[in-house]
Amino acid sequence: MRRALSLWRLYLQNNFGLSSLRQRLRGGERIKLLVFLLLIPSFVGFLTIIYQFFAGLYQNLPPGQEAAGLTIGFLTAGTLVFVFGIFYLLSVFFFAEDNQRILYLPLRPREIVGAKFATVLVNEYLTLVPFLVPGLIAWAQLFPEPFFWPRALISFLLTPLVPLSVAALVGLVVMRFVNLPKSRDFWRVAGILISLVVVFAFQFFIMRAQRGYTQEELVKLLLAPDGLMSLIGRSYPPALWTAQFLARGNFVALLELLLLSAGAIALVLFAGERLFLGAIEGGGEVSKRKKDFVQPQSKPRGIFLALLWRETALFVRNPVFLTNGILNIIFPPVIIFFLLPSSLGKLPGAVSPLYLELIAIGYIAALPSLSVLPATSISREGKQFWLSRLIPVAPQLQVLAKLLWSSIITSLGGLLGLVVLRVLFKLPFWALVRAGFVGFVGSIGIGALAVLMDTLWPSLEWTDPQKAMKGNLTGLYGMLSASLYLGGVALLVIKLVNSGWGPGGIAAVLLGIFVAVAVVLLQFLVKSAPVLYWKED
Amino acid sequence: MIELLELTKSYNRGEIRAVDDLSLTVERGEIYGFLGPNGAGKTTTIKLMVGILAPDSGQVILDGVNLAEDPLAAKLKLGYVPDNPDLYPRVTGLEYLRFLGDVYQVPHKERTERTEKLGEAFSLIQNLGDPIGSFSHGMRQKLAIMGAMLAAPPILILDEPLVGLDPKSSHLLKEILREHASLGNIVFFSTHILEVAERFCHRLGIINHGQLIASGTLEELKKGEQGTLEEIFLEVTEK
Repeated sequence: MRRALSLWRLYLQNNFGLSSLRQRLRGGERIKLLVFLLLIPSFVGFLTIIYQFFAGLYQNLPPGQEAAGLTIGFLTAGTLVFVFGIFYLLSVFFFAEDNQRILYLPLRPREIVGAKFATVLVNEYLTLVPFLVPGLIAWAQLFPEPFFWPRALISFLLTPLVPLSVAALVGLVVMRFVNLPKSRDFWRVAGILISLVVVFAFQFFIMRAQRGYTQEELVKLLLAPDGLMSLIGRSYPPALWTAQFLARGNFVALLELLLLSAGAIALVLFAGERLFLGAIEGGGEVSKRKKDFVQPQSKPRGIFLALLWRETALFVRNPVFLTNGILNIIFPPVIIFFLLPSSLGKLPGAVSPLYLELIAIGYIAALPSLSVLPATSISREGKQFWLSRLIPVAPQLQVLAKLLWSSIITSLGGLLGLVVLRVLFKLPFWALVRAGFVGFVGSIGIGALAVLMDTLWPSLEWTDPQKAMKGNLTGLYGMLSASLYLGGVALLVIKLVNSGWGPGGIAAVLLGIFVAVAVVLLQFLVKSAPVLYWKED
Repeated sequence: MIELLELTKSYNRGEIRAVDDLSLTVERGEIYGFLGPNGAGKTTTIKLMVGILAPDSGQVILDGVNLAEDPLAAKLKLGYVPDNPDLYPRVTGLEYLRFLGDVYQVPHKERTERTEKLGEAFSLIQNLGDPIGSFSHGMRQKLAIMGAMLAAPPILILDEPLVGLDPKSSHLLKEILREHASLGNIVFFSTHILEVAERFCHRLGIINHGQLIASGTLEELKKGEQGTLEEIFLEVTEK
């Protein structure tokens, strides 16, 4: 236990750079801190939106059913932890380069797994803070009662335990038993993705089954105290138990949650002891069968195509990059597709097409900041960045290739979002085309902003690829500065809507703004690239 | 020709001078050995020469092209092998060479011929289809050398190229470099192995505390006195 705690402490120090924090603040990173402070208003704005969402949710629920809002919050939190946690766990458990340095230490597999699990858990807590805490504050203000905050703290701490444990178990099993000789990492990631789809499909069918209630049964259920909460919580009982403990002081629910959490963690440690070593063994093998002669060099490509190829190869062949980069943009539409219909019933016509089109434009434009891809364009090269400095290719061309490539990838998420809008809301085809085009133009500016952040403050000295993705503050800077910019645009759009502007006029205004901002940011980017590639150490 | 003119590079806001007012010239057809104790400034000088670092002051002129004024034209003239070849681990050797061939715009026929010739020579041809991450240090070093020579650059700069190579590959590399220089190209390399420098180089430079403290042929360094390069090295670096 003591050894596992020592390892955990080491991971935390490494993960958050605690030991070098003072040095970094003394050195050149003070400017980063300053930028961070300047971006706090947009972070506060984000928290306010979450707070207002929860406050609205609680107030709009029928009297006596408000705790259903808490259940929705914990259910969503659990889903987020499971989906994003599984890939974070994957990289920390299996793809981290530190495995080679700790395997020879006198540590049991379960101790290593425990320390790694606890490190990911801390990260999940930090991720959940901006999502859950505003919801808890809203509840405390609307329904003040004694001893709420101690219960809230316990609920918060327990929320990620079960979904993260399930994620760890899925990861351990897939990594241990998917052992194809060729493209093993690819098939393992595919295995995890298939597992996720299975879980969501399972959830989807449970919800469909719930729709089998007769109207009378539903009315009866909704009239019962906390009936709605029970209905929502059926698909994921830990969310129900957490909400029952928090809102009603139900200690039996707490006991159920505690037992399930402890059991889940014990199972992770047990599986870790049995499966971890087998899961991380190998990975660097090469095929035994050698070619008799070298295949001739393939046909030459243009320089720009070669740069795009490099971006693709470095991205798709690293499971950590692949999963972190794709998940954020693929899963929001997928989750909406699976979860929204059951919440809103018949959707076509339920929401104004104008609002839907504007949401689509905003979503597609914001995609580069939601995905960490553009904001880690340079950082992903890591120690191999010397090659980019060496090759006779203009830095401007190199960063533009990075921007174009990340725009293409994030556009896939946008395309998926548009398909979901079409299927769920029957949005007219031309409205979709317009939203896609205007959103894409907007995404170029946001993407340029994110790449610019990484050009100014790249993180190149990593050994664990996860550090280049999640441990990289440029993603946060990109997201916060994008939310400032898009927040301003959103305010303008609200004014235009209130003044009676139609979708065509608003799209034209947005297009003008997006083009102007993209031109300015691209100029900044192009000017800053040679400084990084040729001037800085 | 390589011309380094009053090259200076400092760190910690001028507190540490890694390269201090360094000037030297290397002519076409020369093999130039760059020597110095650990931390003397060899790697920093080389990084300044290939454009990975920018100097505080001074100039790097490669084959008549000023690196600061026209970096792309200057970079086209050189090949570089770093001391620790960090290459893309998930890319195969052949893909890496293809990428370099593309960005250096090496014609198809030439890149195929050189890949096969160097691959055979370094006994790497069977492994080029494997990911670089599965390569040993020596294999990565060989691949980095193949990449640096793929465009047959007039200037080849190598930082400790013999480290990690087995005796056969080390011998082979020296032969290849000798042949490259005999075609009128420049080979500039740093090393700690004084015997190699003594036997292999046309001229030598010794750097200490960022300053070039001696430069010339072995005979010029000896100044007519008896002694090995090791003795000269120890004498000038311990002054």
